[in-house]
Amino acid sequence: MVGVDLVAELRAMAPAVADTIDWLEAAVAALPDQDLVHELLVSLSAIDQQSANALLASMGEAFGQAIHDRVLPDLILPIQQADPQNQALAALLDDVMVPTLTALPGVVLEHIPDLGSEDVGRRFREALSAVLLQSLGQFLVATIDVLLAHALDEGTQSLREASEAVGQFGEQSPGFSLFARPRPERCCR
Amino acid sequence: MNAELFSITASTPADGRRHGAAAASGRASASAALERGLDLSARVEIGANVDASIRDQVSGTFTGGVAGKAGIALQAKFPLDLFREAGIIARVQAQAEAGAYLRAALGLELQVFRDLVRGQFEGPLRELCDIFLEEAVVEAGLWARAAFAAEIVAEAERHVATLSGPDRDAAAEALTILRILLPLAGRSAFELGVLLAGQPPQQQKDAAARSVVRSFVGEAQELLLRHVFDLGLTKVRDLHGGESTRTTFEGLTGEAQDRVRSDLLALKDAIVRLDTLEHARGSEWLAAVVACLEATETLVEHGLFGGTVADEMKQALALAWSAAVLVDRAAAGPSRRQEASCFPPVPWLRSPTTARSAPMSAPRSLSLPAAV
Repeated sequence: MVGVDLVAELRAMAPAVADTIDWLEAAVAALPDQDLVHELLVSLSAIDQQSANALLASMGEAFGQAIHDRVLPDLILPIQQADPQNQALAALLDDVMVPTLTALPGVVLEHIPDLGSEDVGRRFREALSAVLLQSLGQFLVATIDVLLAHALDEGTQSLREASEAVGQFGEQSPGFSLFARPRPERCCR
Repeated sequence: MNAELFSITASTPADGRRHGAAAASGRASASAALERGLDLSARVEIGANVDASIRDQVSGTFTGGVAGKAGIALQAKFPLDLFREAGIIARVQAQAEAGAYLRAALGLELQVFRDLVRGQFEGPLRELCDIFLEEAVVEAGLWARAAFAAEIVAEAERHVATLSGPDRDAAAEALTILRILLPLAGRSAFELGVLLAGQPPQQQKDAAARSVVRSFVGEAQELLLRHVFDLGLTKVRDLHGGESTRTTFEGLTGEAQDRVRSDLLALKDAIVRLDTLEHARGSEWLAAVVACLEATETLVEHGLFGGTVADEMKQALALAWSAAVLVDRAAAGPSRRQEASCFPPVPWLRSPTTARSAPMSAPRSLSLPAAV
């Protein structure tokens, strides 16, 4: 890749590629190197703390802008509008994709600079948990729901069998049946 | 399950059979008292002795006493603003009391369990549910699995293909951003949570910044290199289809033409093979790429390209090969990227042997040369 102006050649390939190059350059704008290829493949192959802190700010700005100005209006909205009756698709977009995407600049990148105390760290982890469970929670709920329903079915059957066993025991031991027989209804009027 | 995912079983148990225990275990009892954030906790509290493993079989035993209590509480707080303690609180709570001694054996075959869970979803969520069930333990990092994000992006790609006109162009450009941001967003949330749970507060800021920047750089490197790879292949394709290639071919002897025809058929097979790799593992993808480049290199050696075209072809092949190797390494993660200076000495003449975990999308810009 030496001796070739790769960035220029990539830009000439297609407008979409040129657009991607522009966006990547904006995301790493905080760094001094002007050549994107050299920046990404050489300078950032070993990330020092100063570069990381500087990049955090430019990444947050570029990501937030890209999500709110491009991804949501140009991608998510047209997909939803093209198939408005598709509830499964709406669930995927609204419950998984959009919350996860918007949390990146709004929660993750924005609040990393605030870290430094136990309390902030705990709140940050809770927020990260919230982001993850927003997308994964429905699978957890479904899993637990199935397990619980099965457990209750099994429990009901076991109680029924236990009831029959107690009844049979009562028939065999009439003295014990005084305790084992069902109670009369309370609200007999 | 705990209110805070990252503070308990952050590491997956070494015993594979117990892999799914964290998600399925009825013993998990977390009474969350969160003031903010989202809490989803499952509580089964009947003095129970529950042993559950999703991977092999979901089974367990509930044991209770006269005063036993069985219940499950699912609490979900979905705040609108994660840092201002405001939001919607949804709570579903079911409580059942057992008045007699209860001992119920719970046995549920894995496939039955899977079918029951899958039955609660439809469309793309069912595909994600399958991935969830395969992993079945949140702490191991579902979002860290490339397949999870890839499935969501693939669903978006399918819908973009149904759009038309300027809407489709704009959506396709936004899709490029989604491909980099969605995996980054999901994985960062997992990696940061796990990272911060093990760091003292005074080191958290720097460690978090390095972690998220490293993740982004990895994604950006891979995206850039994929474009460079496409650029190399585009050059190869254009050189294949050039008029000078046809002229050179017609000037070859009959025997040489037969060799070239054989080479072109081998190239055709290699391209067809590459084209079938929609989401192959890195090792498979790179091997298929190398096979295509090898076949093209053989054409160079057998004289199909004359004069400066041969040199241009070699340069294009070198560009595509080096980008493919670097894409493969970028996709393999930070530990592999540190070894990026170790190139195989002879391009396109050897296959990679290292295993990869990240799926790779097949390149779409390589098509059969017109000469074939």
